[in-house]
Amino acid sequence: MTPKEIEIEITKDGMVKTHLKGFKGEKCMEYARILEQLIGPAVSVEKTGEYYETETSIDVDVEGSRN
Amino acid sequence: MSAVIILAPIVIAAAWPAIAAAASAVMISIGYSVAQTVAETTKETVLQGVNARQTVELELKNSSEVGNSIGREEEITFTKDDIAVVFRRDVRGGLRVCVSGENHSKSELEELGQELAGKVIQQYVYNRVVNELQKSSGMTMIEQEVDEDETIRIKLRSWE
Repeated sequence: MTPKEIEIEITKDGMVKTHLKGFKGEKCMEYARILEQLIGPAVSVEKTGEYYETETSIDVDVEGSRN
Repeated sequence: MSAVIILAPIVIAAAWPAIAAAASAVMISIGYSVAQTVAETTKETVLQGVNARQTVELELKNSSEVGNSIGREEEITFTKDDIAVVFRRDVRGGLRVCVSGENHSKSELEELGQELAGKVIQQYVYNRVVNELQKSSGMTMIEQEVDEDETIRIKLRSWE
């Protein structure tokens, strides 16, 4: 399982940049909302490829396993 | 990587103890002393009765001012040499920094006020992240460092 990480930079003038890693889809937005509640409103959101993945499990039938 | 989010911190003025704690941590770490903590006693503060001082007052734009009164005015004063710095919350939640000094121009005092206000907001956000984010998200802080430019970097991790 991929760990979920949040990197936070707080500059000396108080601006905050957060980098959410390992979060997918709705889980990412859930943590984004927590950060907004704790710190303040988002002024910029850049979603990356992993954001658009979904946290689902897939059942795979392997051809030979049915015999 | 999932998302990069830039946030504009809001200092929740109703939480005065958290603001005063952040201000104290910052100011004491750079050599200031606490002069007063209660608004009602400001008549006795170091700012009174000194005529030759320059004074500037700055409003913190990212304070959570509300329409209705949230309680009494609060303030905390710090001094170092001839400089006095007052962090003040008014009854509507507006936060201000008042800096005064004898041998400094207004622009110098304004620059100092901006710098100190930024550091206090930085400390306030740091406290919120370290204390509240770990509690509400179940994440654990695994790294923390301070860059040469005084940016604080924190890394939290969860395996859930």
